Parts: sequence; structure tokens; C-alpha cells
Amino acid sequence: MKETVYNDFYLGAGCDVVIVAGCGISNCGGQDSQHDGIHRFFLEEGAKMRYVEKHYGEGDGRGKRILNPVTELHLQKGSYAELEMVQIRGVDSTERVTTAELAEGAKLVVAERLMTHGSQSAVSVYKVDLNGADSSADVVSRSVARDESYQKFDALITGNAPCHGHSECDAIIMDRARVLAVPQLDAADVDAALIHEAAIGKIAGEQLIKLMTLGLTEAEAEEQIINGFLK
Amino acid sequence: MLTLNHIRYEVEENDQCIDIIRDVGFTVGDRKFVVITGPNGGGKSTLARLISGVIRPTGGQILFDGADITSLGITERARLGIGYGLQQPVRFKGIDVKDLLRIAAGRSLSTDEACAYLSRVGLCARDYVNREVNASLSGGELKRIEIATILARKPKLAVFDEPEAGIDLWSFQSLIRVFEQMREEISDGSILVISHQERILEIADEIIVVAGGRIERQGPREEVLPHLIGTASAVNSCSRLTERS
Repeated sequence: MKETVYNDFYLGAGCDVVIVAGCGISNCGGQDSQHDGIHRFFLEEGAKMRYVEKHYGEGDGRGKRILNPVTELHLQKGSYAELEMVQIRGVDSTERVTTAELAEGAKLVVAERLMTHGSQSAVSVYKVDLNGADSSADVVSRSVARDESYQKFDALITGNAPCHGHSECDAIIMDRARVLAVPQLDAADVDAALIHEAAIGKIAGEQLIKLMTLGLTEAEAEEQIINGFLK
Repeated sequence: MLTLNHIRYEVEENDQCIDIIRDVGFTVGDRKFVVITGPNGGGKSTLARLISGVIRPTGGQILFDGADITSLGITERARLGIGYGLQQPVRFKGIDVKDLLRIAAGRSLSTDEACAYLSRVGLCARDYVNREVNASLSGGELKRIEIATILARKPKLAVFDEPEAGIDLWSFQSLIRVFEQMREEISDGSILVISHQERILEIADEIIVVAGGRIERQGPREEVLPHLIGTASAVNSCSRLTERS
């Protein structure tokens, strides 16, 4: 089964809203289930939005659960968008594409939390254009890759005006997983201040030791560290 | 409480066997405050790691409350009542101070209880209880939180590896008071501190001097300390501060 969902949101000047999008794919059969969503957001002057997206897939069939959400943001002068994207286990394959264009004084904050396991594959692409003076973007991804799963974080921030952009990819890698971080900065204005940070590493042995000296088993310590990291 | 019998620890490096600990034996009695001192690189921190189970000895036996714990891992030793304050406290992204104290206590803690532990190490609790134990904390703050986790854990034997390392002078004074208070409050536990700070040596019941992987000297403070004054094994943090206090 394959379906595509379109949602357009228009946020009038000065409004302040919270939008929650949940998506659960239940697939018990042997066929693939694909769920693609295209969400577009148009924020007028001074509008404020918090968008929460949670993805969770279930089902014990052999059919794959495939999810390809596209999020498109248009931020007008002085508007503010905060995105919380959570995807924990359960979804076999995702390619998430988020694009944003920001006018003068607009601000974008993205917090992504991702955990993949088994043979899952998750690709996150961000393309943020800071077009207006004093616009800013903060894109932060924290992820855990377990088993043989694959993750790619691909974030491009373009500064076309005096602006502030920051992207951060912080990944814990476990087992035989693979994580590719591709942070990109494109400064087209001398006053564009752009920063990226990317760190990939396994759980530090010292962290496990510390929690084990407090009485946790190694497995419990690992869970605590991962749960905290993805909190 | 704790007995080390003929403990050896050797590692292999470039096909060569290096002795880090060569036949060390001592006992930490009940309700005792024991300090291990000695030059850097002498094997002090290795002893702390051997006692807490982070590493296993290549020879000898460790007894805790009469039971042989030589082959037990970190978790099992922790559950028997051995606490271990690391020299370099660990940072955790996403775990806040209250989480860490709750894990240490092994039960849920009220904010008041968590705050009580923090106050004892001189941190204004309200500012810290919900802070993440991450890179935003200074070395001194982390060190105090590390000590607070041991207080919350209430181990029978608390092992502290250089609790004063990385702490500024101002904090050092209050740290000493924390240890003095612990010293007074020992009811049924013991404390083993690795330190070469004179102020900590001064509150010890017994002092063990470790150098070159061996015990050079051990005994009651009154006997051992006079031999150490003026050497690297009994460092004065700052003579001006000591004179004033």
C-alpha cells in the first residue's frame, strides 16, 4: 500500500499555535506500507508556531514500513517556528526532507530525535535559506544508530543576509551501524555567521563505568545513557 | 571492611610486562578514614580502579566484609556497598543532576532530598538540580556533583580518587569541610581517599604511602605524616590560605 498525504497550514499574522502530527503505520501483512506526507507551512508576519511530529511504526509482518515526510516552511518577517521531530524505532525506511526560507528577523529552531535499529535506514535532509537580515536557524539532531542501521544527516544552511545559522549532529553509534553526517554551510553575505558541529561516537566507556559504580548493570547503564541522550 | 592481599597488577606493552602494582596489601578497618598518598604515577589511581572493579588484579585477593570479591564486576561490587568517586568526573548529555542522584540513591528522590545532597557539597540546589551533567558545568561543579552522588549512594566503603583535582582554591576550602563532616559522621562505613593534599592527610586515621607500585609506608597518621611534610606526598594547596584558616 502506498499513499501520499498533503497538508497545507496557513498561519495568520501574530498567531501563536501548536500543531501536533502523529503518524503510526501498522503493517501486519507481508506487503510494504508506504506513507508519504507533504506538509507545508506558511507563517505570516510575527506568527509563532510549535510543530511536533512523532513517528512510530509497528507490525510484525515482513512488509516494510516506509515513511518519507516532506516539510516545507515559509517564514515571513519576525515569525518563529519550532519543530520537534521524533522518530523512535519501528520505521524501516525514511527519507525526511525539510526546507525552510526565512525573511527578516524570522527564527527557526529544529530538534530532531532519532533512533534506528535492525536494518533500518533514515535519511534527514535539511535545506535552510536565511534570506532576511537578522534571521536565524538552529538545527539540532541527536540520534542513536543500533544494529546494522544506517543514518544520514545532511544539513545545508545558506546565509544570504546578515544572519545566524547553527547546525549540530550528535550521534551515538552502536553495534555495526553506520552514520554519515554531511553538514554544509554556504555564506553569501559577509555578515552571515554560520556554524556547524558534528560528532559521532560510541557510548564512552567512562559513562558506563560511572553508572555501573552506582549499581546499574551494563545494559541498564546503556539504556539510561540513550534515554537521556534522546530526551 | 576491605582487605587487599598480595595484589599485583601488570600490563603487557610492546611484548614487555610492566608491573603497575607489585604485591600490595593493606586493610581499611570499619569506621576508618584512610588516605593513600604518594608520588604521581606510583599506582594510587590503579588501586582505586582495582578496588571498584574497573580492572581486575593479575594476582592476589580482595576481601570485602570477609567475602572474596576479586572476581566480581563493578556492578556487583557497587551493590555490595563500594562507592567510587572518579578523578575525572564524567559528562552525560541529557542526564540531569537529579537523574544522577536518583540513580545513585537507587530510588526516586524528592526535589528536597536531591537538594539536600547538593547543599552538602556547597551547590545552591535550585540552580543545579535540573541542570544537565554536560559540558556546561565546570570541572569544579562536576567534581562536587560527583561527591554528591557518593553521598546519595551511602556506600559502606566510599573510595575517592583525588577529590581535589580540578577544583579551584576557593572550592578547595569547602571541599575540605565536606570531608571533615564525612569524617565526623562515619557511623558504620569507611572512607578511602587518594590525595596528596596535606589538609586531607591531616584528618586521616591512617595513611598509606604508595610509590613505584609498592607500599612505602603505612600506619596511623601521627606516625606517618611527620615523614611526609615537605615532600610531594603532602602538598600544601596554598600556604596563604592555610595560614588564614
